[in-house]
Amino acid sequence: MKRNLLIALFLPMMTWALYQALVLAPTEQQLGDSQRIFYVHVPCAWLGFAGFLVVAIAGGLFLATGRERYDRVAQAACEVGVLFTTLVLVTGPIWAKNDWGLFWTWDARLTSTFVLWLLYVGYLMLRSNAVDPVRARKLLAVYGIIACLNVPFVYMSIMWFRTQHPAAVVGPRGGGISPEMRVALYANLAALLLLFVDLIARRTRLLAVEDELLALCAEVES
Amino acid sequence: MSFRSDFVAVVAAYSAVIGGIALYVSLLGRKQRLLGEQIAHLRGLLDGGHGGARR
Repeated sequence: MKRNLLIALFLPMMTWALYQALVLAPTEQQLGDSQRIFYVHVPCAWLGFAGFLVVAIAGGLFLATGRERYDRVAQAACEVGVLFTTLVLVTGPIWAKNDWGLFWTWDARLTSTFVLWLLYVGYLMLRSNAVDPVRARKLLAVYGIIACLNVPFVYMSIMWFRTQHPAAVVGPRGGGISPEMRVALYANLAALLLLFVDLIARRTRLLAVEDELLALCAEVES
Repeated sequence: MSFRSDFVAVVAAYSAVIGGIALYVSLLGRKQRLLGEQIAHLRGLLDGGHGGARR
């Protein structure tokens, strides 16, 4: 029951968030209804960043303590971060095609997000193909910390470069959105955050079961 | 922008998000089931019997 608490909270929360985003939030005057993609696109981007930040923190803790649990958390967070960043890279072009008339342009924000995604897909591929898993864990912890340096670059890219991507509308330098839009945005963020935490917890437990299976295999062989 | 293209874009984006999450959750569930079966099988072997799930 305790393990399913987050998912039990997520379902009604997400339903309410979708209602806020698709029905209650006002239609943006210039962008029209396609702006409603914003309410899932932006939270997915933030949670992708959060996932990669967790990879770096868990990797650092693994290097400091050597506890395998942190390594499992890093791998789980990387998978979930890649999932959310993939959703950003899918929803963004759908919105772009509608508003800019093209799916993709190689501007600083889009390109740096794509590079970020590639870095963490590379992390997962290296992990799954490691010949020496014990040594790979330490190397991947360092890789996760270095790759995380791209996160602030992606975030700041719209301020540092002239980009096709719109400027920030929330936060200290944001242009601002109406209170109803803000509610829809944070409702989606809260619902997806519950899912984010639940998925990392589930995947971490599953990785522990995988380690248990490897230990059992070794026991059977011996 | 026309209502039609806005509508299609919103439906496509939200479907992609829900579908992507559902796919990942179902893959986790499948992996969990397979691991459970394999562990039960190995435990059965270790106990000396033929207990556990067979593939």
